[in-house]
Amino acid sequence: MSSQASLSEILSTLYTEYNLKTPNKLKIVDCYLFYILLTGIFQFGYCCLVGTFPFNAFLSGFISTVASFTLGVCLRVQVNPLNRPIFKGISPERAFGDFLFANVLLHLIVINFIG
Amino acid sequence: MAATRGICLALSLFVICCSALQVDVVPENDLLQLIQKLKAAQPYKDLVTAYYSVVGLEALNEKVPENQDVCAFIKKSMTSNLVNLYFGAFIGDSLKCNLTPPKDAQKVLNDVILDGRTTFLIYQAVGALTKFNLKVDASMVVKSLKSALEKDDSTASHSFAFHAAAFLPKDADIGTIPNAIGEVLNQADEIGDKYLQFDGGIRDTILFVTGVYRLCYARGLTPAIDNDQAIKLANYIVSKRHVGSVRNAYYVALGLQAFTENKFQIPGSVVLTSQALIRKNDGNIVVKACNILGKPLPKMDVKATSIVSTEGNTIASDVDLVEKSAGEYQFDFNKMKPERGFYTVHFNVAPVVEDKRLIGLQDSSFKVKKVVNVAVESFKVKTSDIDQASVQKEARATFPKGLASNIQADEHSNVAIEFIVKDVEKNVEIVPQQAFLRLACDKCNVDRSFLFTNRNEQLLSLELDITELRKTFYSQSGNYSMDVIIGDPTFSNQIYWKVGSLSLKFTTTGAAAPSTKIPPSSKPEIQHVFRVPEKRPPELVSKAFTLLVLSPLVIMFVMWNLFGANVSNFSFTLPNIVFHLGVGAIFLLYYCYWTNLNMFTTLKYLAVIGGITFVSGTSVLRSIANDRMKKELR
Repeated sequence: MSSQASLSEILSTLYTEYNLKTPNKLKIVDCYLFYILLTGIFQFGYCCLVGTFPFNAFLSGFISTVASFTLGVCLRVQVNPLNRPIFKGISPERAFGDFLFANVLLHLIVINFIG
Repeated sequence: MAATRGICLALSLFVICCSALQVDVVPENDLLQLIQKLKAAQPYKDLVTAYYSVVGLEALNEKVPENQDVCAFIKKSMTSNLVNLYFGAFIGDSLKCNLTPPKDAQKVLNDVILDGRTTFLIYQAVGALTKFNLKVDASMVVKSLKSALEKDDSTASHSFAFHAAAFLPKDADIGTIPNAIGEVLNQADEIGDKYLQFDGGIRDTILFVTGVYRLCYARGLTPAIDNDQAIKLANYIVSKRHVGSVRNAYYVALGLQAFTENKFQIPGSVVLTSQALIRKNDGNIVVKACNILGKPLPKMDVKATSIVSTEGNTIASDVDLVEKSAGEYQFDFNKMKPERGFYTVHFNVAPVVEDKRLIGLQDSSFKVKKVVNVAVESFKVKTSDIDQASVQKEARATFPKGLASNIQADEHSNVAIEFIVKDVEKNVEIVPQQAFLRLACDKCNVDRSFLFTNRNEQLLSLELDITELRKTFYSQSGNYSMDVIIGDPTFSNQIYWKVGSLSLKFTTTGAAAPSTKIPPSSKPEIQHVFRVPEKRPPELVSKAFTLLVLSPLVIMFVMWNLFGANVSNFSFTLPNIVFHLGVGAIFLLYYCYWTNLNMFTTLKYLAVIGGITFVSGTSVLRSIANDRMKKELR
């Protein structure tokens, strides 16, 4: 009982802390990441329940979500004000530009592979 | 036909087995060709060719054809230079021309020796001086040879030094020149445990051999060539007997002479001159003891030490062979009363008068085979009805005559054929290695062979089930000729017996038998097969999942809304609009690429849209960054 209580305590603390201390911009990015994560899970669920045919289509879709998630995480790391000292030369705008450029490149390949 | 041909081929293959290091012998025809090559060089147009031809023929104890006055030719071409003096002197000596050397010959040749550039030149000069009976300054020759050897210590260089030193008188001190023999021999390459040769090939090998033997003979030394090496060198020379030029013919002739006329080592060989086949009337095995030129060696004691069958039974041992003619010895194999089969005969050959020069004669062996004449006996063809097996018709045939009448058979009959094979001489039954019945349709294009088996001791039998034959013969009723084919490597007569004919009647008539010739036609085209699509899920499922996969997008917008994300900051400046439109356009382009564009057009459009988006994007992001900086500064 006590462990459950502490777990819920921890979770509620985490939630309040997150709500209070995380900048809004990062929350938006987190929403984006959550969206990508859900999409990826649904794709994977489809593959498990229904089948992988056509395999290249499934693979490119899944690669798209995984890579997008990775790029999103990179963006989040770079724009986080707490990480400012590490990424001195990279402004949030520059990070966003890179994020866009990488996405354009990624999806060219994804579309090429989707067949 | 093919079967009989195969049997004949098998018969004609005899394997002659040899002892470990067999001495090869020049076949008579090859020797004649070699002599012919040397003789064909006439009429001589230059001294070199004349030298090769005359000296080569002399080495083989052949006379130079007298179509041309060679002596007159030499006298005419003799001038005072080394090459002409050397060739002239040797040819003159060989043909006994009684040449008088030019007056300045002594000086010219001595100058060459004194100059001592190469052992080859010194050898030529010393040789010419010796043949002209002019004075040779031995100490000068040895000194020049030594200095020439220091400059060039190749095999050929040493060989010429041996040759040159061999000309010097016995009391002259030739120093360490002969010591190099073993060292030079070590440089020879062994090929397949049978040949020994020098890198320079036929010329270097033969120059070495002749040089060593001449030098050792002249100085009374024992050549540092062991017997196995001598045999391998001789085998190499014999293997080079097919020559293309007079020059090579000369070298081979010199080499052959070196191994047949020397005081040290003469390789000898025992060769089988009779057939390796032992028949009833002709069981003589004849062997010849000869040198590498095929010339008989002095009288020998030849003994067949053992005669062993392939099964390992020794049927005789220590059989003395009697001399048939010079160098040829024989014994009657049939006296051992051999059964049919293969035998290995081991020989031991020893000269009557001991001759230590003879090498390579120890233990030689040959494979021979005893063959027998055979005939077919008790040939029967039995036909019976399947339903009433007891009712049998029997037809007999006597070899080599055929059956008196046709054999009739239909799908309700069984045909059984049986016979025995007998050794005619001993009148015993034997089982051949293979026996076939060949049935060939007279009118159509089909023939098939069936194997006889000896289920019952020596009786060979074959049963034909006509119902089963229907498919084999495409239901072609008609006359089939019956041939019995019997083959065995130990038969002197292979049997192809046309027995008679078999009239087959099938209830159904089939289409004509296919032609055995297959017309050339193109192979079926190979089509690429794509992966067969798996069964797709129902449309409902697909649509549901499409919605499900898209649903997180809605969730995201809802969450963004909760977190208060908005587009209020959006300013309607040109770069801003262009940037957002550009990004949208890029993803729209990707959609088009997916549906109908190809990579090249896509990249073209992407370059344009991407370029514009990039330019506008940088300006938008820069202005945002600048605004932020200003705020922060404030």
